This record gives sequence, structure tokens and C-alpha cells, in this order.
Amino acid sequence: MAAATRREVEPDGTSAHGRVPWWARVFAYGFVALLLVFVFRDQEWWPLTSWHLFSHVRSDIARSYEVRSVGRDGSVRPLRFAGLPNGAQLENRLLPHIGTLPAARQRSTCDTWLKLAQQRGDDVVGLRIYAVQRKLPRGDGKPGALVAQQLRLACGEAS
Amino acid sequence: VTSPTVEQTSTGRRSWLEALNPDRALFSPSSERRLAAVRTGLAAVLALRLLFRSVSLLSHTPDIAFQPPPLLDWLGGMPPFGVLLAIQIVGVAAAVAAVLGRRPRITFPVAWMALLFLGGLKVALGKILHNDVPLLLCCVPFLIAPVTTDLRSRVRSERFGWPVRVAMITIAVGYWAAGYQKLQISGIDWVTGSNMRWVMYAAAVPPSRAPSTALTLFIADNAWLAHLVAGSILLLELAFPLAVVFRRLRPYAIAGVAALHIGTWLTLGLDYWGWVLTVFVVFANWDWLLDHLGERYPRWRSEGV
Repeated sequence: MAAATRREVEPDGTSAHGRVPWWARVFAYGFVALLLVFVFRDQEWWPLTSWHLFSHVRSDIARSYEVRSVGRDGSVRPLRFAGLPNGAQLENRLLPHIGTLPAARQRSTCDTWLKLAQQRGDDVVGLRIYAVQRKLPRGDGKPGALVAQQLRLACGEAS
Repeated sequence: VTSPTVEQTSTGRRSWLEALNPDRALFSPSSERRLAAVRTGLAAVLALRLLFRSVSLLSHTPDIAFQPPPLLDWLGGMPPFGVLLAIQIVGVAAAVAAVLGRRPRITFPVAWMALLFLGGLKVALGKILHNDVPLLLCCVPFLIAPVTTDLRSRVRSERFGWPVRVAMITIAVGYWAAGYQKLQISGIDWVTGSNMRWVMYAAAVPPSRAPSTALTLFIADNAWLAHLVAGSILLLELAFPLAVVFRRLRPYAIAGVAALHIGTWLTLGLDYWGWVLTVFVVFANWDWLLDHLGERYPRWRSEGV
């Protein structure tokens, strides 16, 4: 191959038969334009993305969701995800985005968590999901103080 | 024999206007061996990204947590472990074959599709992940680019240049857009406010993903350092496209990207090594590298023209 290409080479080192075909030109311009469209229209169609990486300013308030279980006697305590099937994934991957799910999906998710907790043997008749705001701890190991909370969803006898 | 390269001889004389000409940015000539090296390098990164992922963890995703991206919307749920493992094995094998120059027209796209599928399934866990995005997007022009595996040929042409140029611009768009979105959404407050300090404090909350929270808290506790880090990140992102236009900036761009992502791993525990390798493969001066490696490995020694 090298011997063949050597004969096609101009004195300045470029290939005389190396022009870009028209379809490659169309592709190159089209592809770059597509990347920019996703940036400026703020759209996500993975792997095409708008490249939001830490773009929102963080403050001393951390916003998250917390799930609390309601027992038969009415006592309320945090739901322990550890020990549920795929508990870590549910807590770390799904819970932070539960507010972005369609309403029907949110309800079915809550119902499933309730069922999983009951199957584990927890004393639980209902679940409440709160949107909470906590002060961010400053690395001193103390938990952040609760600033605000709002009930977003409830299922079972807690609803 | 060393031949003067078009890019090298013309860079000094190029005017700003000429340098910003989109046709020039996309279709500058490049050597055949650079195209071969970038394709081989991207195949190697594909192999590594496919190899170092847990399909076992993926397969345990419950159906209620399965939210696939539009690309994989046709899937009813997470495929079983056996299917995921088979795709991973086929993908790694295809990527290794592409690195070795075996049927790259087939093996490279197979490896790319395997990563697209497995990467998409990871996104299906509910959060948009960017870890594989630059690599996947940079590979797209190489799916249709001329196939060459000759690491010795110095022949230069626009035909060999455009896939590499499109990959460079893809990366540049990614970094620039990340900076643009920060300014668009948060404004200069992203740098001048306490933003970076709170990013660090949040990352230090147990159980932190960072290998150690010492550096994380050191930055968080020193406001001037947090501002410096934030400013450096924004500057690198917004200025990255200059590395496409001015080749002398490319080593600094590679070093900056490595510092940014190693720093991100040390402080936040977020793993972006795929980005660093992709940027290196696409922006490295392969003509220079292969000349030096050719002194040791005759297979890569240039034939001249």
C-alpha cells in the first residue's frame, strides 16, 4: 500500500488523490452542527448531550429526597435502603431523581418500595417521600441541620 | 527522510481569519499514519472502557429503576447478566482486533456499538452520565472514514485529515459547551461565589467517593483556592477550542485536561479517565511520537515520501 501511495504523492508531501469526498463534507458539517444544536437547544438524547457538568451553582443548602416509613402504631422513621434488593442503587440512583419521574411512575415506585420493605419484615404500613433541604456539614462529621421539608408523595396507609 | 508538513509550515503564516475558516478547521490535511494512530488509539480506549465496567452490577437493576435513554427505549428492562457479559466479551475482542489492525472496518464499529449499548444501559439507571460520551462521539467519524492501519506512511491528505479534525472539534465543543452552560446558568458567580467550596463540602460528606477527603476539605476551607480552582476550570473549558486552531497549544490542553480530571477524581471521586485518554489520543502529535517510537520499534519507522 505504501509503495502505491508513494507514487501519488506531490513534492510537498500531500496526496494528489486525497480530496475529501462530498459525502464526508456533508457529514462533517452536519455532525458538528448537530452537536451545537444540542448545546444551544439544551437537549439530551444520550450520547448527544447539552454538556451540563456542574453547571448549577451550589450553596450551603443540600436538596434531596428522604423516604420515611410509617409503622402500625403511627411511628415514623427513615426507610433503611440497605438490605433491600438493589437497595444501594435505589437510594443512590433512583431516589435523587424521583421528582422528575411521571406521577404514575412515582406512585408505582413508592408502592414497590413499600412492598419490598414489608417483604423484608419491616413494621411498615405506608411510606412518605419528602423533598428536604439540609445545611451542608463542613467536614466536621456532624449531620446537616434540617432547614425545610415538604411531603411530595405518600403510599400505603400513609397516604 | 523528513518531509515538511503542511500544518507545520503554514501555521506561522496563517492569519487569524484564515485559522478560523471552518473549511480549514475541518479539512486540513493530515498524515496517513496519524489517522491510523488515532483510530488505533480510540480502539484501545474502547477496549479499556469496555473491560473496566461491571455488567454484573448493571444486571441487578430492578425494572422500576430502569429508565433507558431514547436510544434504548425499545428495551423492556435490563437484559440478563449472560447477554450483558456476551456483549462485553464481544466488544473487548472486537476492540483488541481493531487495535491489532484486524478487519478494522468491521471490528471498530462492533466495539463502538458494544460501548454504546453498555454505556446507554448505565444511563438507564436514571442519571445522564458523560463518562463515555466524548469517546463515543469522537469515534463516529472513524466509522465511515478511510480505513488505514499503516503507522509508517507520511503521505498527507485532506482525506486522512478530516476524521481527526472532526474528532478534535467534537472534544472542543464538549469542553467549550461545559463552560458555556456554567456561564449561561450560573453566570460568573460560578467562579466568584462560594460555589466551589460547597461542591467540595458536599463531596466530603460521608460516605465520600473521594479516595481521601483531605484535599477536598483543604480546597473547601480555603476560599482563595476554591476560586482559583473554579476559575482555572472555566478558563480551560472556554479556551479549549483554541487547541484545535493552534497546534502549539495542544500539549498544554492535554496537560490541562489531565490535571482537571485527576483533580476531579482526587477531590470528588468522579472517574473521568476515559476523557483524558480520548483527549490524548485525538490531540497528541502522532507524527512526532511515531518518529521517536520508530527509533525503538522499526515497525513504526517512517518510510518518508
